[in-house]
Amino acid sequence: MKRFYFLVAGIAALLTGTIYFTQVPAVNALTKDSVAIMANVQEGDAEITRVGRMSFAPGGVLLVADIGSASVVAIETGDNGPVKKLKERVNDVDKKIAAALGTDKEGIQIIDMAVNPASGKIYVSTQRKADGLNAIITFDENGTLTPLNLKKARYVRVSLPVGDEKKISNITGVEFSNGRVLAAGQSNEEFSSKIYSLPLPLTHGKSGEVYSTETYHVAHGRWETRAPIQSFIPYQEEGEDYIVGSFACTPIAKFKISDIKKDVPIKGTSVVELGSGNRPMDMFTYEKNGKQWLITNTDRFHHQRRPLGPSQYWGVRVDMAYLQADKINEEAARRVVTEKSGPNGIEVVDALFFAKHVAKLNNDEMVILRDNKGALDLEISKLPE
Amino acid sequence: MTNLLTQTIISALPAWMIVLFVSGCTDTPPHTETVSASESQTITSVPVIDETEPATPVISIRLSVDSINQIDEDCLVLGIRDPDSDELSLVHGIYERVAGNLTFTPTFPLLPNQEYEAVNLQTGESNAYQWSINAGPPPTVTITPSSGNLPANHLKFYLAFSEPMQQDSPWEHCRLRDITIGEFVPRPFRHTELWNRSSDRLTLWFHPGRQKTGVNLNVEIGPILEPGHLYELILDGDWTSLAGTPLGKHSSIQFRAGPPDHDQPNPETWTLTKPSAGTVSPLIIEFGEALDHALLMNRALEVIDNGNPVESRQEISTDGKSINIIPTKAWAAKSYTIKINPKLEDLAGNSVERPFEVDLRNSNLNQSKATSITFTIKP
Repeated sequence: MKRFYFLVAGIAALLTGTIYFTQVPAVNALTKDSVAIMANVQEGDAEITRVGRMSFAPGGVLLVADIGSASVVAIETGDNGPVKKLKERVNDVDKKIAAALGTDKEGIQIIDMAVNPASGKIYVSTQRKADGLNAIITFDENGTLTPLNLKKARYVRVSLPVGDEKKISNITGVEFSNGRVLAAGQSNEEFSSKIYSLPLPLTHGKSGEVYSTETYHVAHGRWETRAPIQSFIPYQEEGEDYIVGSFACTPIAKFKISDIKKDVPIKGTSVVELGSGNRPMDMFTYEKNGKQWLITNTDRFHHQRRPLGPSQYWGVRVDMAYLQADKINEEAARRVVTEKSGPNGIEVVDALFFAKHVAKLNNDEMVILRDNKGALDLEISKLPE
Repeated sequence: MTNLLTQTIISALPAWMIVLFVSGCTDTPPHTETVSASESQTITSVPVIDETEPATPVISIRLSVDSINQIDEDCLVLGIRDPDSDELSLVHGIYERVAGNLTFTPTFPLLPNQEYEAVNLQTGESNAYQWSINAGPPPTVTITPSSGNLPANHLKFYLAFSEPMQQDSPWEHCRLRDITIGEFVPRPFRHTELWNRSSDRLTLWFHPGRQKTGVNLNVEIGPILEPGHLYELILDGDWTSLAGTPLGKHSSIQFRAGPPDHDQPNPETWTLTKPSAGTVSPLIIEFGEALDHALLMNRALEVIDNGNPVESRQEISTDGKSINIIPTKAWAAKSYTIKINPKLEDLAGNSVERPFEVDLRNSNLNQSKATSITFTIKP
């Protein structure tokens, strides 16, 4: 009888071990065309060396620019919904994040904010200044703060090709597009503007392709090869894939990427000029009453000398029809800088004053990280009709 | 950690159910071997702090009977007390309950020299916590280019530190003073953080929009440098390393702005001092102007022999106006080619490939200068 107990106990122990050590196979995130987003997925410490801009791919995959290692890290968050949006404003978000990291709000730098459209959960990338500790902090529907566990993550890391190991890129954006992930940035010494294309599935240990850009800067009246894209979104027009990018001083340009070729610069077409003295921060599009709109918020470094509104942080919406306009480059539409709107389809959005970061929740609402007299508040705001 | 514990319990549950079923559901509870770091200490109502790992201390309290059903965060917290408002801002951490004790471990390592406070919310009793490390010697910095005359449309400085530095908003630690008129230059630097991977070298850019003639910022605010003026680039002493040590004192360089430089580096005008065959003497290349130090360091020039790079080391002069290429093996009496990276720039951003101020509408796109030089070493 004793032997029988041992046998059963042994089977039980084996069963325990098997259940404990065998990870439940994670369902791989797929695109809408059922293409896997990640391959050769790693488990463990994502080892982000300098956290940067973020955005979401389908299936709860968080794309993170790791500036320190010139790579994009895709993290399977397992955050697949349902949508539970933030119920009420969270005050002093910067103070709360800083305290969670064991410091005061002057001791952190808020880098970027992304919203998972599948869940409404808000992700904030941040760095502790004193020692360069990187963290991604999430806020749920109740405003409860939880760090994303980067030490035990399912992730892949794809390098951005920088040629020489000594050169790094400052990565100004990372976005999921049709069949690929795109990143924008520039190299350190040359400061030339680059677009990086990372094919799907994002495969750990692999590297992407790099392309140079040339853009006509309307305000400067000349072509630029060095001005880096500050913020961008993927865009489709008549079946072709484009990047719509925003630059400092502040042309919005589109780059056709369907037929990009190595060693051939991608020529941008400037379609709208928002005015000089501004640095764009975030971009997204939304649909309202059958019309497509582009939202972008900017940091006005001319605010002290020539204020545009009550805050250096302000934003506009632009009718996406401008992206298909015939008038481009020298003739591109220029925002009427002395008015709140104009020409037709370019409007200052009041809700974006004081907005340091903005991300789309759905076609009706956006999430704003708002400057409130030196503190940062997190809130949901209506998108303009 | 909580997830791991939950996963363990869930994983083990079926196995224990089998054991309990077979053993006839005896009254003897399964023995738990889990021992926390704090169990060896007497847990009082004042939070007990195990400092074995000073950056991630384990803080423990004994739970009262009334607290058993309370959530962890209502029993024990660690925070930073605001001296003005007396408000306690909470540090994030992982809770565990073991044998009537509640422990808290911070999710992120605590910073040295920061005051923290652990509070038992059941009793209101608290315990202060702070840990410290011995500060190392202050970091040092080398600024390139380091002195002399710079063109009025000079673009960038390289700041090489002796150790990794705090990276946030580096331009806030940098100032430019116009010594000639005795005033600081307003907003001269581009607000872009361009650190290398090891966080010990920063590329500090003058704002290109102010350095390009005719560009709006250049027109509206004016150029950063006036030809003939003497300037001082100052790095503040409070700039701190990631190890927590500030530079301690201001670091600075002085330079005089010369006329703007709109000409591309032209390799055909470079002067070569050729070594003798059979020696490892340096090949000396003088550019006639200072070229970008970092691009030269990235081996923008490479001596090629029969299609293969000649194994060599390169020494760049302090003023960036020349380079010595010293081969590992002796030069042969033959022809060699110097391959030049077309991205190689002068201090004003004019590259071998194209000038900095290029208007692609009106310019001939093929503006590249020679990207190779051939030289012959005589027997």
